[in-house]
Amino acid sequence: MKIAQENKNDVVICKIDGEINISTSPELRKFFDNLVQNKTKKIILDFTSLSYIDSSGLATLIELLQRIKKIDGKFYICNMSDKIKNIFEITKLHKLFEVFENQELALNKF
Amino acid sequence: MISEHKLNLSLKDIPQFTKNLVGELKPLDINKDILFDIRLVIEEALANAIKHGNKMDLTKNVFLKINASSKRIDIEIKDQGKGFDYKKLPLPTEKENLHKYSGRGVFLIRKLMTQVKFFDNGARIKMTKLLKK
Repeated sequence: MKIAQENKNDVVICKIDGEINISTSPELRKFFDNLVQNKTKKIILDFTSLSYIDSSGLATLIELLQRIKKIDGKFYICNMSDKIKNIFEITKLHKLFEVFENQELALNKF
Repeated sequence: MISEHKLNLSLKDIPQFTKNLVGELKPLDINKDILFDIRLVIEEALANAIKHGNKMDLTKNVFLKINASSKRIDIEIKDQGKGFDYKKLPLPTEKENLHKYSGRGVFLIRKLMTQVKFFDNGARIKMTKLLKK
């Protein structure tokens, strides 16, 4: 998994390339740790290049959501593939996260 | 295609193993979304077997058997643990469980496969995906 960070004003956009799974989750958690420690409160996870997620990856996203909420921050997800969206819908996690069709819509929501 | 494996993987080794295993199914010309599901259910079942079945004891094995054709995929995974009560799993989609980190593995397996059966008090799972052509 690779994470590319882009800043747009006070919003940090993280483009995730690869998989969020039981092996890569610690890396995402660590990346998020740094953002939270730097008081970043507006984060977008761009899933354009996310090819796979497992239940461990879903658990990591829930953990990150809870952590950003604790510092009164928000994180949105955008550009999910149909397959990843399908996994979110099956598990009903689309109700827990704020998911947008594209980056622009997510940016405008802040 | 039939393959059998005797495994003693750690949890972090599961994704690469399943990715390679599912890669072997590509000659069968199976839809990529189905291959995603197959990889996911194998990964979830292996993680359960290692974590909850074998209690992370790497001296114990997990046995995996996969029989795949263009019409169906049968997968059997067995651990060396005592099993678990697979009939009493909380529904992860209930409002009070949505925030929980765990409890989605078996749920996803049941949702993504055509048929799922447990044996040996839950220490052995057999799952089948029927493929439409």
